[in-house]
Amino acid sequence: MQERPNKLVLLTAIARFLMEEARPALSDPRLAFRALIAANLASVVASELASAPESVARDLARLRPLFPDVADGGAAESFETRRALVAELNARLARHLRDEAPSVDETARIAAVLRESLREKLAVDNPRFDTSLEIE
Amino acid sequence: MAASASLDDLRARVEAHLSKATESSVTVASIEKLAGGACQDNYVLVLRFAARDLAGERKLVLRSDANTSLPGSLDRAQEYAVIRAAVAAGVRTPEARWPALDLVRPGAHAYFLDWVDGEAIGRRVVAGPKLAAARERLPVECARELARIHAITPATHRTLFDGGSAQPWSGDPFADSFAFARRMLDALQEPRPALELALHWLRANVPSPRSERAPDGASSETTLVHGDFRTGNFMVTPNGLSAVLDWEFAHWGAPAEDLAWMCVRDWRFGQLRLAAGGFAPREVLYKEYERATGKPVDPREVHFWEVMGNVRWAAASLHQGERYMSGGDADIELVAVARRAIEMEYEALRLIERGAR
Repeated sequence: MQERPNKLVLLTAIARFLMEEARPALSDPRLAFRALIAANLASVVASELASAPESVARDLARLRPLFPDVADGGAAESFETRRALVAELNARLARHLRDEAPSVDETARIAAVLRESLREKLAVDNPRFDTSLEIE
Repeated sequence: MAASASLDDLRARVEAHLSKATESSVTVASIEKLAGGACQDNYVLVLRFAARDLAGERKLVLRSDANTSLPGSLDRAQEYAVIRAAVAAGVRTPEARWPALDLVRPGAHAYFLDWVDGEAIGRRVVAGPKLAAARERLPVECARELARIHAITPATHRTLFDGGSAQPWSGDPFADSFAFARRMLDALQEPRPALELALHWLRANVPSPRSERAPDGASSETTLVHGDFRTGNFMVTPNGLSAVLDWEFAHWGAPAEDLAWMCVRDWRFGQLRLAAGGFAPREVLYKEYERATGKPVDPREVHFWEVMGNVRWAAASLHQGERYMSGGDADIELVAVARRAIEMEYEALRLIERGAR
């Protein structure tokens, strides 16, 4: 796998090209709008790529206390292991919420974890999204 | 070439259909396909009529069923029946005319809609300088239109959905919407714990039935619900609201569902603090709705439906992404909107945490 230029550089270059060169040259407003969407998607993937290791580690650290049966692999855990575990725990959480009607207190604990996880994803995908509780 | 050939075919079929329906000569001066619309094939036409009551040139929209539809949406035949009832009830919505089958595609229902001028693009409706005076009138005008829609009930229009309703109706709007959301979530390809949590909360927080509050013991009120009444789905001119559009999600339900949908965050188009459609505080809409209907708005009931609205919009946007990934529709906007589902998920959890207003 080539590392220079790496994936992050390439995605950023695609986003810049679409935004700064292609979009202004498109006279069809519908196409120009779609070029903007494409540029934004490439930027989002670039940001996610850059933040993935940390964000997966934080997701896992928040989810683990909800699952006492899952052993902590410590610092030796690989990124891929952690990512698979986050997916598995999210699936377990969804099933639990769907089928086992957790109590009000437990639901509040889970909600706090999910809100924090979504807040972090939004900060990467759409930094302009206001996540404060009292927007209105 | 294929596209223009089929447009010529369509032109001939439209002329034949309308000449028969109006019992006089009709010619198509122009016909053009409209962009957008996941559930419909839409065309804009200029028609020349010879019939005495229609004589002259008229601009119309032809709406036909598309190949695919979204869960919970009506087909054009059902939509035609709803629009006719709405027009008769005084709702400001363009008249639907001359229903047809097999006109655009074999098996597809279609009808014609009078053209209405105005702006429906959300950002312009909430921020365009030319519409500043119109925005002042929107709370009153939206409340008035909703009051007229909500005056249509299963008691007054028993057979309205005899042609079929895409959403279940048992007489309990809460149970029906819960079952509908449950089906949408179960059809997702990836577990979404935030949506499961919101649905769990909804099941545990169904507003107490109206019967506990109303001395006459009436059960929870069921009316026609537009189902997609929000900024972007009504036309606005400098004089105010000119037309309510997009009836494909109409169903029997709780009227508060429409009020809540108007306040859903994604329809504020950046004007976050103006919860009612991005043009007014929610209290203003509630007050005008109470004035127009004579019925009190229960903020807890609107809160329930606003959480539900975000759950359904999150699930619907994820389904849009699936339409791309299944190979059915190669539109980049579908995958982009699916990536925005986390915004609606967060908003549902935020509303639960914040409580009713």
